[in-house]
Amino acid sequence: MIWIETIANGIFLGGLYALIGLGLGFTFGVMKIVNIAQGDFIVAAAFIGLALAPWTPGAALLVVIPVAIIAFLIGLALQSLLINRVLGKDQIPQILLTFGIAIILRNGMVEWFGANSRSIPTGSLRFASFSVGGLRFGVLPALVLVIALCLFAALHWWLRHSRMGRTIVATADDYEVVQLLGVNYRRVYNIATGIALALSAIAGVLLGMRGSFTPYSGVDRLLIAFEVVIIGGIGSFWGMFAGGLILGVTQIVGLKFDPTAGLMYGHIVFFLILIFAPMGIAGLLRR
Amino acid sequence: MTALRISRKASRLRAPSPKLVLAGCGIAALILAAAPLALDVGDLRLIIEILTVFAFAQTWNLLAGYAGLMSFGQHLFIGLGAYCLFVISNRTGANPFYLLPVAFLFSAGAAALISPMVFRLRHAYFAIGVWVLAEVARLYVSQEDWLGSTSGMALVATRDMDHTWVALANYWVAVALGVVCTAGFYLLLTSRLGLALVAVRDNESAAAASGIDVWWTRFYGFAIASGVCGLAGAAYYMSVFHLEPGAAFDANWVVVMLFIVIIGGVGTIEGPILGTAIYFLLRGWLAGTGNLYLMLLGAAAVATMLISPKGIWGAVRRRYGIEIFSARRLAD
Repeated sequence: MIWIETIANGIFLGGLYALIGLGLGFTFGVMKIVNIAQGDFIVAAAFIGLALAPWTPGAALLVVIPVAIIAFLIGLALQSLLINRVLGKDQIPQILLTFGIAIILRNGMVEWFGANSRSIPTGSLRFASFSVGGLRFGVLPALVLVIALCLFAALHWWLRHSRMGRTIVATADDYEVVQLLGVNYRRVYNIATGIALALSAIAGVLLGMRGSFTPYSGVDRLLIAFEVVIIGGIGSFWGMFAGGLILGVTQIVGLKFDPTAGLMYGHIVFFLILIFAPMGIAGLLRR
Repeated sequence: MTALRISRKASRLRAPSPKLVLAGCGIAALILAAAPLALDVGDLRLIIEILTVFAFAQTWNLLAGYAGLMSFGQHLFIGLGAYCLFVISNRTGANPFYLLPVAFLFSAGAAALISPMVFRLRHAYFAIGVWVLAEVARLYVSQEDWLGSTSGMALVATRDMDHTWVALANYWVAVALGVVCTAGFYLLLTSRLGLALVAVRDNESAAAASGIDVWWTRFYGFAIASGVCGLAGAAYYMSVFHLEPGAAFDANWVVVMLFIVIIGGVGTIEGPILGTAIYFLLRGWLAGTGNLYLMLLGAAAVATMLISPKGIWGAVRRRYGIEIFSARRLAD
């Protein structure tokens, strides 16, 4: 019985991990760029959420909306002011640029907020629970999984059915050809980065509500996002979701056996998958 | 870069002959090796640090600038090399200086072992993949008592040796490392393997079509660079006598390597020399400012990418056509 509870908790956490991976995977899918600063932006979003939390008393979860909007704007600015200027066939400048931004963000947060561990207050939601078949689960973790699922479905739908979404998909396929159709691919990139950061920011705030964070948490977040994308299979939407669930379950089960292990078992599962299924879950299904 | 552009540019570049370059390296090494006659222990310690950090940066440059393999996990090999040397020396009582080649082989072997796995990842994914391995190593070492867990271990063997001799030996090891990472890498880059590395970096398909085995070329590049990085890691921690997982497997090592290489100029041998000088000047100047100093390193990386992605030496080379360590070869 205890195992069912453990695995369920892993799945709840995995939904969030999937959401972190979605931001990274989406940027890569559209622009073939990996934003190394993603993990630190996630932590920055949690700090913004912490600052805005007093403004939404009673409905703690609503704070994700303003944070997502701010993150979207930051994403627009980041892409248009910095990353667009180093686009090119050579990927090294883009990777190094975002790495530099990550270092600035991380140490800036240490400077301003200190290195202490914090958590975003959620009021009565923190300890609320419900029971199914004699097992008790937290309301917040379950809600978080539902939010993650909804965001995955919404993005999936939006990319297929809206004009902007289709433009993004077309740009991802061939950024040179879409220019013939009057699309400014740099503008599309701005919006894509905005969306990616907004998604990651939501995940960051929710992670900050479920657990704790420090300015140094960005590295772990980035590695999780990266593992989710590779486990799922690069470019696969629902593969990423499954990747998140696998990592979440592995981590919670691993911590049960070995409380000091941290993310180690998640990393090991990631490498096992990389050896035995290098194209990820999506690659396995396609075969 | 196409062949046409190389030949046109090469005619403008002034580069001294390889013999002159190697002679210059030899003279510089002799001066450095004789320096203990004039310097005190504190100065020697600083020079050891400068030379080993330079070696870290140069191995990163060999990977990112010449092999087209950017890795954010090179601190893995610093830790592996250092732990290999400490553990074997402490268990067997062996003289750690004789174990330096073992540290090299251990790190190079580890790189060879993980290559089949991490070479499945490309570009940024490769960079982060190695980083994950470094994280795994750090978490594993922190948990194991026989590796000293989180509190680490001290090097026992050098305690009973003559301290002046140990300091001098450490210093000469660092000087040798500096020579390997300039003259040695220069020779490597003008060899068949070096030219193959650059060819693969510039155009994988063209290199493969010319008969270069892309996978094995990358493999040798990765193993050599990681092996030397591990050797430098062992030398660095041998000179500070103490080792702990949080410091040895610290991702900030990569931040330092990256700063030095890209500020100086990625893909040039001169770049990291210049970058190391700038890094240590900045560090001395900003000592005690803590995080502001790291933020400045990040900002410098961002600014370099926006203004001159080839770094300071890249800009100098383009503007004045000067090149000291030229790995180019002119067609007769």
